[in-house]
Amino acid sequence: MANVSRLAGVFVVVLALVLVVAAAMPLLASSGGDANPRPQNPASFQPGNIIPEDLEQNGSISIDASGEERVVLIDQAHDNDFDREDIEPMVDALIAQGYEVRFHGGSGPGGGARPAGPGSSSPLNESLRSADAFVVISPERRFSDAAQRGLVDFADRGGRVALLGEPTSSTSSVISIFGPAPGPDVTSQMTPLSSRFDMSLSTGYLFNMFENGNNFQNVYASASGDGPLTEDVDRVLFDRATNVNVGGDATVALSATDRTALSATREQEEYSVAAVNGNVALVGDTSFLTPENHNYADNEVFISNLAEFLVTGQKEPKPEPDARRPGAPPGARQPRPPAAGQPPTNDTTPPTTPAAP
Amino acid sequence: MSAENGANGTAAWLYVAVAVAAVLIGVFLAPQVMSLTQGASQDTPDSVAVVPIEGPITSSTADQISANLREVRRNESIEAVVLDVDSPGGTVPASEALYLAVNRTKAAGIPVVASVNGVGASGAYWAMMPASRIYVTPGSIVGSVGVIGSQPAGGPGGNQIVTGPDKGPGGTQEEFRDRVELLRQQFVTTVMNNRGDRLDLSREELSYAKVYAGAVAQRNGVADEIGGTDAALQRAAENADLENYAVTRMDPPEQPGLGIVLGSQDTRASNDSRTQRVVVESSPFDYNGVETPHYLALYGTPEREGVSDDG
Repeated sequence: MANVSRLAGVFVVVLALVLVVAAAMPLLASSGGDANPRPQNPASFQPGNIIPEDLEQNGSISIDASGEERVVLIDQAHDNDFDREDIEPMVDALIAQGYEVRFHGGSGPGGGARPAGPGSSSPLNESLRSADAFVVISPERRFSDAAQRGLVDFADRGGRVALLGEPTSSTSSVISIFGPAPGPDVTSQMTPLSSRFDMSLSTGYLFNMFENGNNFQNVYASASGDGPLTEDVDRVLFDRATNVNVGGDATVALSATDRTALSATREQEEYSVAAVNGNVALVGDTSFLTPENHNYADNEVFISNLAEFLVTGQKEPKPEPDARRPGAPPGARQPRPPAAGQPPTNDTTPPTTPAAP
Repeated sequence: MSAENGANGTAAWLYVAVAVAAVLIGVFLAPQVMSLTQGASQDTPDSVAVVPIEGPITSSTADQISANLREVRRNESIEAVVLDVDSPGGTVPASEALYLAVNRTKAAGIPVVASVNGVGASGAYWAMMPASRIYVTPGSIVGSVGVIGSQPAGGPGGNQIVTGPDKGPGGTQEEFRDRVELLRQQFVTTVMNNRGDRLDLSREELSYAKVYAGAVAQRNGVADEIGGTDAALQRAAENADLENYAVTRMDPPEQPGLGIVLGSQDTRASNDSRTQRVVVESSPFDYNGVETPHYLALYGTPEREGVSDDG
């Protein structure tokens, strides 16, 4: 009898143990691991679907010019928005070919434009007398009327002028300490000058959502017609360019590819990025000159053509002024002759002997 | 002596036999007992969980929301999920982690429906892509399929010495551009793969990164239905074949005690109309004292610094 009760006790204890374990299992399982720990592999996470196109960078700037002695003057007197390292590839190529590169104005000795009084020649015009070509990059200060007239005269006499500008509307590409911040609006000071040559810049930027250099603001432009800037150029990649408007005798040199739009209107039209009018070229971008961008697509070919354009002009000497300039008030000072020493430039590269062609 | 031993051996076998019988019976009864305790551990047999996605999406908030979704997958009483969204997005890594968590929940066979109450933009929109339907109110804001990249100034400063030219910023500007483009491709591809058949927008149009009011989004396919969270709950329950269901609201993610300001705000005005102070407190996306590149799937422009022009 005792055995029977013991056996019953064992039965009850074992059964209770099993049922307790069974009852506890769901409670224990609910605090366990993920019910669906399967790894995921969405298509949008596959590198082959999302890695952008690798933009090739190759080639170098090659200037094929006569090798005659030429002086290229680069403006720094109008709050120009560039650093010297930004244009180093073209400057280096010019110097390597024996051409002289000077900078007008800037923060060095003799830098900065002085106000030109009535009848006086502007400092720029004095610098231009000894130059064969003049480059203006993103001026944020207006050229004086005298300087503008001087540049028109410079170009009329065969001097070559390259005007390079950027969009002036606010941009989100300014990198702040934390994130993109709207940049300040800067009023373009290029158009008052370029309009004297029947060309102007738009204020917005060009973008292309369909075909671009891995960013919608990196637009391609292709050669339009035969001109001094487009020889052997297929496509040029511009980082945030603007539209170039042409009129009169100016002709388009580079046109943005199809479906490019302008930020101001969002309209897809035909937009120009570079144009030429005689001895003057206008490009709606400056960043293609930088060491980082100078050899994307055919950028280096375009820069080579631009450099050749600058050093192949045939500038005629300025005719000697009459005893008194027409229209000048009696007693007004005559334009000063070139200074005995250097013109008011600074940081000039040493004059060099042009390399043998 | 031997007879006693024989009796003891027989008794031992009897005990073993009884124990085995008890185990067998226990195993037989175990499923019933398990179902009883399983039911006892559940609030209701069938429920739809509301998982809030609120505020900027950071690694911290994404972890909390992912934990809620993990709980949804574990809890067998929860048959469907409604994402209750009011967020402008956040960092790209946190947003894509959240997307994966939602995607995993859907892959577990749990219907997922999204309901936007306020803003469901950029990284928040990314996260709700696996949802079968997106409910919006006419005035809610959805979209902003794009990425913001910001990079600290390159190069060593002061007396720093770095071991490589890209140690600070992490790469050249061109590599940075390509990285941001990769993230755009990933985001756009995710949207197109999940909703391409419903969108009236091309990849390029989507890449403009516009936001749309709910009423417009319902028409162009960025969202599916006009309705609030109740409508989304109803849809989620229908997708789970639930006629009667309870609603289990999960805890919203806790923001880590920071003043978060997206956009500037004027907090003081003085007699001088030119004087204003814009104060933006700590950013949820930053490390203290370290400038790092940021990749944000965010609708809006974050600001961090205190700005004062009163002088």
